[in-house]
This record gives sequence, C-alpha cells and structure tokens, in this order.
Amino acid sequence: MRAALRARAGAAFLAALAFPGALSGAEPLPTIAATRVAGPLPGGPRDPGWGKLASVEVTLYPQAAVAPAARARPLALALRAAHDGRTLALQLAWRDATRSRTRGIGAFADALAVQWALGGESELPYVGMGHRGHPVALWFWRADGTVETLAAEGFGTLSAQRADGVQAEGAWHDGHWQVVLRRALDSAASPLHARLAPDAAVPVAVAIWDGGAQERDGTKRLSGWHALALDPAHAARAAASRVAGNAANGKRLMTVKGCVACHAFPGNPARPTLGPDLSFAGGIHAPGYLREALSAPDKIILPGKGYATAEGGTRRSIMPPLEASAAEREDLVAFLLTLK
Amino acid sequence: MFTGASLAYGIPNVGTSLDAWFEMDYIVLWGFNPNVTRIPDAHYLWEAKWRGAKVVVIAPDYNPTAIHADLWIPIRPGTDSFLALSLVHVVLEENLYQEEFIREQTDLPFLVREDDGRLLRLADLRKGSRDDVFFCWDEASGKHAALPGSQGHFRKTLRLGTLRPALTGRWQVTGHDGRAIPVTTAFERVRAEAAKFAPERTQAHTGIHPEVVRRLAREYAAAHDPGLTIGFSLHKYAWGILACWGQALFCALTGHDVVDTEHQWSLGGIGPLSSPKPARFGSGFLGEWFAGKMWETFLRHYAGKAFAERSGIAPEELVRLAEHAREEKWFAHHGEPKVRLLFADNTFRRNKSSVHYRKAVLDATELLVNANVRMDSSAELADYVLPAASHYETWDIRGEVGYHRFANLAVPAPGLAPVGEAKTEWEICRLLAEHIAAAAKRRGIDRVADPEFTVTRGEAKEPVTRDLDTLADDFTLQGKLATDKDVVQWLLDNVPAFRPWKLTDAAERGFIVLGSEAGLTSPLYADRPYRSFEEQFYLKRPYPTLSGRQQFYVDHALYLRLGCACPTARAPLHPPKFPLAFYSPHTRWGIHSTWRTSKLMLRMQRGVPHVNLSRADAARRGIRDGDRVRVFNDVGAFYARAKILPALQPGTLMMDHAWEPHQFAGRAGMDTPVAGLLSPLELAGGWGHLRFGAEWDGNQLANESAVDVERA
Amino acid sequence: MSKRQLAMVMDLNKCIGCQTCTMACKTQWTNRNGRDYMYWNNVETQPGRGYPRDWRRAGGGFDDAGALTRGRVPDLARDYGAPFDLDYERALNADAGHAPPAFAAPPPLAPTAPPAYGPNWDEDQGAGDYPNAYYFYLPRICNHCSNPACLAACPRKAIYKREEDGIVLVDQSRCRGYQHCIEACPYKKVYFNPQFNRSEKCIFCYPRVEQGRAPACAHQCVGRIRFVGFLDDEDGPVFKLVTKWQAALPLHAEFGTRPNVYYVPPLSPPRLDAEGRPTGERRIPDAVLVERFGPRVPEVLALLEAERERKRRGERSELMDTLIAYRHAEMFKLDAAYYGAAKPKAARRVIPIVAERARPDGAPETEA
Repeated sequence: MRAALRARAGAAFLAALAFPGALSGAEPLPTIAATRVAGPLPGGPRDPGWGKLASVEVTLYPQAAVAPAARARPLALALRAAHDGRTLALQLAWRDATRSRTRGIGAFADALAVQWALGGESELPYVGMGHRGHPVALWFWRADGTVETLAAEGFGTLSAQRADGVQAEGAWHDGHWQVVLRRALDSAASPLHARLAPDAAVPVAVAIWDGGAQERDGTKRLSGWHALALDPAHAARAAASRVAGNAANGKRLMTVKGCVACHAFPGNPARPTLGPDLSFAGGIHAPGYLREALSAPDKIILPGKGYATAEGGTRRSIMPPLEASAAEREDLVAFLLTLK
Repeated sequence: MFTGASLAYGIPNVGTSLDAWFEMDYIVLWGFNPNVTRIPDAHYLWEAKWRGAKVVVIAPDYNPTAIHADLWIPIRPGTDSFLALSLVHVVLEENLYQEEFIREQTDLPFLVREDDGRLLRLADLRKGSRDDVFFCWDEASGKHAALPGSQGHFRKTLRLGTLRPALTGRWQVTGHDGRAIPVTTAFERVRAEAAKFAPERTQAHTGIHPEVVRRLAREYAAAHDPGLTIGFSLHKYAWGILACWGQALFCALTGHDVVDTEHQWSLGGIGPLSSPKPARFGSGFLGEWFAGKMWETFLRHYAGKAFAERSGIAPEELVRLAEHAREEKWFAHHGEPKVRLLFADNTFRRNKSSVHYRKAVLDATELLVNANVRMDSSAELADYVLPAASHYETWDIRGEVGYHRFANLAVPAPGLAPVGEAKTEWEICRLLAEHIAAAAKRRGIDRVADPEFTVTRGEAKEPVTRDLDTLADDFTLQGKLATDKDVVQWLLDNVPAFRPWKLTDAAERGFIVLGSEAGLTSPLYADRPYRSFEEQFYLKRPYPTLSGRQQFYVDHALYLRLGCACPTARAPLHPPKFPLAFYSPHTRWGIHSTWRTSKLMLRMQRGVPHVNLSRADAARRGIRDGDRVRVFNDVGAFYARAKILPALQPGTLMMDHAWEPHQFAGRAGMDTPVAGLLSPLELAGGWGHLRFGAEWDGNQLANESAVDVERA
Repeated sequence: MSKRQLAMVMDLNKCIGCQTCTMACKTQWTNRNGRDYMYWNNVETQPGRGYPRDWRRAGGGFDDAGALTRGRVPDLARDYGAPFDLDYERALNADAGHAPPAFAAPPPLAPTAPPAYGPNWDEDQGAGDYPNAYYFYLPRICNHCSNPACLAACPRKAIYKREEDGIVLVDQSRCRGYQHCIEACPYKKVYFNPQFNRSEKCIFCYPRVEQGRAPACAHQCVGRIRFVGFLDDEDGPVFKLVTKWQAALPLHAEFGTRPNVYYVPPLSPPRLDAEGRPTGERRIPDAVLVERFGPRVPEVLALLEAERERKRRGERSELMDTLIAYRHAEMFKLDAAYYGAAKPKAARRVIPIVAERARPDGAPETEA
C-alpha cells in the first residue's frame, strides 16, 4: 500500500499543498509565525523568556467524528514558536484544572500532540491523523514526562518511529499546563519525521488530552491545520481565507438536502449517528476539506461504524452524492464553518 | 491419632486408598472435608457420583464438600457419638445387621460377666492361667468355648471351624472357685447400650431429625459397596474416640468393611535406620500436657458442674488420671528435657493454650535448637536455627499415610547450590552426631546407661546403654549413609514396598508407585484400589487387638468406671459460660502452617487471619464482615477479622487452622483461648492392645473450647 | 469468525475451589512484570461479587440491538484488589542478633498495605440462610468469544482472533493502551499492564496448544473438570458436551459476545425444611443458575440426574462417561500436527501500521 513518501523541499512544498480536491488551488492556512531570536532560545516551560514572545491562540475542538467522541468544550491553547536557525522551540499552554501525570489501570495522563503534515501528492493530510497516502508526523508528550516520535496515515495506524531528537518538558501550575517542545531543524532522518526547514511554512496541528477526564485515543480536542512559518517572508504571504457563501442559507440547506438525517450538529433537533457529528466541523476543518467532503465523500472515509460499505471490493461512503449548485455548496460550507 | 479405630482394629489408620471411592455406591463423609483437605483425590468422589453413587456429608457447617453432596446433614459440633450410636440403634432395631460377619470378625460373641462387666477370661475359669483367652457360647455344643485368634490363644486364626458362637442369650459358667458366673454376650451389652440412643432421643443432642438418621442407616446397610470416611476433626473432641468406635461398630454390624480413617502403608524394611535399641519414644499428647502445664488452663476453663455431668468425672479427677497414666507407664514420659532439638514441627504454632504453653515450655528449656527451612513461629523462639535445605533442595521420599499408591520423591535440581548455610536435615543430624561424639570423647564419656530400659544378656538384665562413642557411625550405618541421597537410595534398596524402582527412574518421574508389599493388612494390587483387612476377611488372620477381632468391648478399669466398656455416646464438653463452640477445621491454604504465610496463598484470602461467624451471631453482636474482632474466653484472647458465613451454624465460631502466631497482634495466635483437655478414654493403657506406641497414643483436643467474640 | 474454534467446557459439579488452576496460570504468566494483580484465570464463589468486584454489573458487551456498550475499567484497589506484599524481614528478623523478642514487640506479619479486596475475597460465603446456605465455584478465563467486544472496541484493531483456532489475542506491538477493550469486555477478562502500558489477557496458552498440550489451567486441574477441543470435532469431548448432549452452557450469553467457554451447571443438595428434613428442592435456586447460564439450566440438571440414574442401574451413559474424565487424552483433544499444517506463515494483515517503526532500542525496523 505504500505510497510515495518522498519529502518535498523548497517553497514548492507549500505552494503544492492544497486541500483534497480544492476547487480553487492552494488555500492559505491560519499562520503561526515563529520568532527568529538572535540569542539563546527560552528554556523550560516557565522560563519568563517565553512571555516576551508573541503567542497565537489556537482553538481546539472536541473530536466528534468517530466514536468514542470527546465530551468537552472547545479549549483555547496559546502557542509560541521561536528558532535560532538551528533549533525550533515551541511553548504550548492550556488550562487543565487537574494534573494527571500517571498512566495506570483506568488512569490516563494529560497529553499533548503536535502533528506535522508530511509531503503528500499535492494534498494536505486529513487533520485527524492523516489519511491513506498522506501521512503525518507527530510529537506526543505525556505528563509522565515521556515524549514519543510517531507517524500515522489515518485512524488506527499510529506507530512509533525512530526518535527524531525532539525533547519535551512540561510544568503544571495553578490549573495550567505549559509544555515546551524542542528539536533541531535539520534532524529529520526518516521520511516520516517532521521537516522543519526554514524555507517554507509547515502545516501543523495540535491536540490535547485531559487525563483526568479519561481522555485518550480519539477522545481528544484538536485544532485545524495551521501553517508554521519559520521565515517571516512566508508568514506575510498568508491571508485570511474567505468563503463567499451565505451561512444562513446554508443552514436551511442542511435540512433541504437531507443532511439533518445523518449528521448531528447544533440546530438539528435530532442526534443521528449515521454520519460523523459535525458540531465542531468549522473549527477543525478548513474550507477546502469541507468542499471536498461534500463533493467527493469517498475520498476520505472516516472509520466510524457504518460510515462505509464495501461494494465490489471498494469502500464507498454511505453518504449519497450531493445534488447542489456551486453556490449552494458554498452556502453549505459557509454554514459548516460557523460550527465551532 | 484415630483412637476409636485403634480401639476397634488395633490400628489407627485403616480404610481404603482414595481411588476406592470411585467404586463405591454410597459414600458417607463425616467430619471430613476432602474438597479442601484431599485436593488431589477429591475428584474420585464426584466421578463416583457421576457413576450413580450417592454422597452424604455430615458436618456442622455447609462446607465446601457438602456443596456437591446428595445430602448434607448438619450436626451440632461434638455430638457425633450420638449420631453414631443412633445409627447402631437403627441397625439393631430393624435387624439390618450381618450375623455371619460379626460372629466371625468381631468380639460381639465374646462372653461378658454380668457380675462385674468384665470379659470372661480363661483366668476366670482356671486359676493362674491366661487372661488373654476369651470365650463364646457355642450354639453347636451348647456350652462355652474358647475362641481362637485372640492374643493368648495358640491358634492364630479367626476360622471358627465347627463353632457357632451365639450372639444373644444369658448363661452361667463355673468359675475356678466353683461359683457360678452369669454371662451374656458383648452383643447383648452393645445392644442394651445402643437401645438408649434412639434417633428420636438423640435429636436433642445432634439437632438431626430422626427420619434422616433412619434413612441413612437403612441406605448404608442396603448399599452394595458403601464407604464411611471420617476426618481427624472428630478426634479433636473428647468423645471422638467414642464417635469413631461407634462408627466402626456401625460398619461392622452392616457387614461393610471398616470405617475409613486414612489407611497407612507398610513400609517394612526401615528398621535398620533406627537404633536396634529401644528408644525414649515419648507420648506426644501427654508429653505436651505436662510440658505446657496444660492442666492449669484446663481447670480454669472447665471449672463447674457441666464437665462432671457430661464426662462422669470431676475435672480434678482428669488431672489425676493423667498423672496416673504417667506413673503406671501406660504412656511413656521421660520428664521435661532441658535441651530440645526441634525438627519439622511448628510446635509453638500447634499447641493449645498457646501463650500459656509457650511460656511453660520455654521457662523449662535451657536450649532450644530448631532445624527449619523457614522462620516459622517456633524458629522465632529458638536459641539456634539450623537452616535446613527445603523440599526442592534435598533428596527425600514420602510414604506415610496412604491416600493413594504413590510415594513422592523430592529431587534437588542438578547443580543447585544450597542457599546460605542451609544443609539437608540428614547432614545436620550427621554433623550433630559427629560433634556430640567428639564432645563426649573429650569429656571421657563413651556410654551412658539408660535405666529406663533393660536388655537380657543370658541370665542377667542389663540397662541399655546409649553409645556416644559410636554415635556417628551408628547413625550413618558405619559411613554408608553420609548424605540424603544415600538414604533415599538405601530406602529404595531395602524397603520391599518401594521395589523395583531405581533411583534414576524414580527421579525422572518424581514419584514411585508402591508395590504389593506396601499393603499393611491386604496386598496392594496393581490394578485396583487398596482396601484394608483382606487378610482378616478372607484369610481369617487375627486383627492386632486383644480379642484378635474388631473389638467393641473394652473392659479396661477406666472404661468400666466411665460406663464406656462398649460404644456409647457422651455430650461435648464446651463449658456453657461462653456461648460459641470454637472449632478449627484444616485449612485449604497450607499444609498445616507450611505455605500458610506465602504471599500468593494469602492473596487468595484476605491477607490476615479471619474468623467465621454465622449471620445470626454476627448480627446479634453488631459485627459486620471485615470488622476487627476479639475472640476470648477465660483462657486467653486473640484478634482477627470477621467473615460472615451463611454456611455456619449459629452457636459456633469456626476458623480455618494453622495461621502462624506471628500473623496475630502480640503473637497471640488462634489457639490462645483453646484450653488444655484430654479425653479420659485416651488415658487408658496397659490393657490388651492399648499399649503406648505407634498404634495407641492420645490427642490434643482443639475443638472443645467455648468462646465469645466482640467487635474490637 | 474464525475457521475453527477451540473451546473449553468446565463441569461445575466437580470444581472444588482449590485454585490450582489459578496458581498454574499465575506462576506461568502473571507473577511478574506488572501482572501481579491480574488473574487471567480466577475462581470465584458464586453467588458472590466475583473478581473483579461486581464484574457482572461493570458493563460492556453488546446490547439487544447489537451495539457495543462501554462499561467501566475496574479500580485496582477496590475491584481487583491491590496485590499486597508482606514484610517478612520486619516481622520476623527485626531483632536478629538481639535478645529474644518480647512477644508483643515485633509487628505481626501482615500485608504492608491492608487490602480492600482480592481475587477470592468472598470465598465460601455464597447466599441463603442457614441451614439452607448455598454456593458453588465458578472458574473463569477469557472466553475467546466469537464476537469479542474487546476486538470490536479497539480502534486500532490491536486485538485479533486467530483464523486457525479462534484464540483472541492482543497484538502487543499495536496496542497503545487506550483501555477501550477493558471497558468493553463484559467479563472483565482483559487487563491493563501498567508496566508496559498495554492490554493483556489470557492467551489460551497458545504456545502449549500449538504443541498439542492443554492450557496450563486445564492440565493442572486436579478436580479434572476441564475439557478442551475444537467445537467441530465430533469425536472430541467439547462437541459432545456442547453440541451433542447440550449439557454445557455459556456464561451470560445475553452479553452478546458468543463466548467459547461453557459450563455444566451444578446440582446441589436439597433444602432442609424447618425440622431439618430434606425437601425435594435443590438448594441453589434455579433462578440463580438461569441468570448466569440461561433458561436451559433446569433441563440440563434434569438430564444430568437422569443419566446418572442410568449409570446407577448399570446402563451406559456417554454423557456421564465423558464427564467422569478417565484420561487426559480424552479430556484434551489437541493436535500439534494440525498446527504444523494450518498455521499461516504470513503475519496477519489488518490496517497496516505506518511503514517504518521503531524498535525499543530506537533502531528502525520495517514491517513484515
């Protein structure tokens, strides 16, 4: 099954990236600009040096597409990125009233994952662990002090990789975690390691788990894709994405087109489970993915129970083809983007 | 020891190998819990059940064996003699007894003098003649006739020839002084005694409905191949001897073999391993009574009228009887040793009135040395512990008791180095012998005369000497037996029951199969279970009893005095001043105290000693499952956790045995409140086959103390 | 569903609660490396809370519509029982070399932390009122179900069922310790190993089975209550007991997992009336057994008695002869040769794991 996993270098990387089947070419992602520092990088998680750097607020939404879903509220995470040309350091801070540091029988540690898109065939990987042919690299920190280098290519394929040199340190104080992850820019030694070259922005996403709430696996909160720009030049190029559709009409269309029959979302009085729960779809997904999901649902089928059938040996989504005009599709996308 | 069986058969351990259960059609398990205490062999019972056998369990609590039985009969603790006699009563009343069998195989036809209750002896009829030849009334000739096979009769057979001994009747014989002696049969005496124990009357003692008793008696009598197995727990009551004797009588009357008390094998050929000289082999039960000054706790706990009412003697009288037994040398007792070498006996765990016992013994002991594989509750108190290699580190072979035909071998792993300074017990003894011999030599002592034993040399009697100069040589058979392996090899070479096993074959399998010579009173056939007394039943060889038969009339002066010349029943002795009868059946979780404190075993329980209470008794005291409680009486107290058992009879407190005292607060173990007690009937000696030795010695009684319990 | 299914039958009329099976499994597999609290084989007294505590109400399995339901992960101290240690050194050797200990001075030998529960906590308690108390022993292992809830619950497909014999296993290289399987198993026979952070469970002693030997629990059982073989082997004891005679019943079939361990339900002695006479009624209420083994219990008990009666009269009974279990060779029908032929050489393919993965020492290894 192995698809080509050759890393792509250079500015072409970002330019080549697009959402699956994006109608209008590459779409910009919300940007995180890493600060280039001249002197030493800030140290541990509580190093006051971090406070001097600009932070980006990244919203994390409960994973609801595949059971078991997370039963939690969206969470704001503050992310700061810095590099000195050799090493990238990230500080991530979020609120967690309970510190859960140990794994055990029925016990899970607080955890954090930073997920990096790896070069695919001009498409971004699905934000929830990638999809076939479109792997992601991950740094997975647990509050027991361990950090793992992982890779995945869709739900259920997560696997440990040779360590890529990432280091992690976490500190919990007064209801907040602060975690610092640090890695050399050039230490990627395998096609499944994150590439952090300063010559392009790298798509990145974040997820956290609240061990005290028994969160692990798919019960997590995750962000959508962002672009981490190590070179300010790349950051400047990013612009907010615009979607032209009418969200109010899109909401009406959710009923007219029958979406309410299979998908749960705020405003649907029923809570069907035939298809993924869309309650946070707007927070997690970018417009391009949503367009693709409407027009080509077979492209990425989530491994939920009953979401797919096997017809003549091929997996087909049970979502029927959407009959709608381009304007209607944009309206639907506009509405979906409000769900967060 | 199963003293009731010793009375009846002259051998305490009789019965069948446990695979015999598989062949039986009616199995009674009385005071016996094989699902817990015969774990490797219990399957024969339930497989017998699948072949159609009926299984009946008699026990005070609904124990783990009762759960698979066809009937569980609850019985009040210590009242077993009443049930036994009721069964005898029914058999006699309803004519379910086998006349031919009892005429030939029991002393029931023996003539008993009606004037003094003693057996009629040749010495009664001819002055100065034997007192171990007995008589029957021969129906064929119409007069009394000596019965062959008794201890004093020249013909060692039970074959009656033309004799037809009467079972019933009353006659007169002429004594040596010319006077008439009225006589009747032992059978008549037995029947008269049993007549007092109709099931309708014994119900008040046992709590068992008379219909249940009658049905049990009839079904057993009618069964084709029944078995009655009893547990040692019955002999932890003062009248266990009577219960067992009554059970033996019941079996004899129904013509069905014998009561099963865990038969023993014959491991002849071991003789040379012992000194050829008579040994200072002391009575266990009486030795412990004196060593532990147990009459003190006895007198304290059993003070009052109840003891005399139920036993027929006052408590002080029992103390005197024990002294008397010692003075008469009915039981060997050689005084209190100053130096004790303790091997394979966790004596301070086991002995009753434990705190009291411990103090009495340690106060009198100057040096206590314990050879042990672990720091048990006795090793803790020793002056020296000689670390012994454990079961898997030494060569050893097992053959005592006879549950089945296998003798396990202990085989050390090759190349195994002993842990620390541990040595095998054989080597420990050999080294002790060498050093004692050397020390004796240094002090100029070669032999020590032992005035308690004499040997006859020609015309003269000389005292036996203990030869310290040759001690090491004697111990090792002149150097032949230096190691544990040598001993096992020697046993395989010299014990007929172990033939033809070679050490290598045996070591490979880990056990040997006993040969036909292993049978004590029957051959051990290769292809079927062992059953005792074939030599008696079929070859008509005498039993090792005074009468040469199954003995149900014992005219020892003490028995006559107590009204127990033939099987009868007596009430348990629990003093009424405390409400709960305390009994302690054998634990599932240890071989006595071996493995009792194993982590894995304790995790199968609750980790700490617990006592079992009935729901009613716990509720009355506000005790809940898991509460810390204090069990107490006027002898002592201990602390434990409570466990509520619906299976437990109200009025009882049950604790599985062999917890180590060092598992309890203050080292006060579960036997702390158990009072000293001896069974008066076990204090008889110097009569017929009731002579101290491997077949006759009394018991420490664990189950006759009364206690109360409270939340702590 | 696998091509063939190994199954086990236990005759509860022969179980004596000795825990030899528990110790066989414990000393073979679970006395080290994070597994001390696990009893892949346990024997509990029923009626009773069982091990883990109240597992029958801990949830899991499938509902009537066939949907997987999630139960709870049992608590170590309250439900499994924290496996306690004993400080022998402190209790027994504290005064080594000094004067004999005063009898009250050294602490008693006791668990270093008092246990709140254990794998056999309510041994021999049962239910009922004296003299009509009742209980029986229930040995339990993983049932190697044909519709395993653990397998359904794992999002990574780290649990799989072997084609050749239906043994259900946790792939230790795939498991990431999510513990969904533990929530999902209604028998609570999957366990979390806190040392390796992975799920573990009874493996049906497959290394022994592949050599033609019965699992350790079955082989060591001195009560001779266990039968092992393929469900489809008509000559084997399992087929006879489960399919031909239908005398062996699944435990809590309503959980929906299609367990492959079956039980011959236990007879019991009669209740006693107020005067102590036996009645005609068995003391374990039918309802207690039906609740566990299903509605066919009374029919099976009657069958057992009827076949027993045939033996008593000297007639033949294949059912009784099977349950008597004369020989190990008849109790355990396993065949090493079958495994030589049938065991697939290729590793099982499910969802592939991402190509390159790390070995514990950090060096890369490629996927088979």
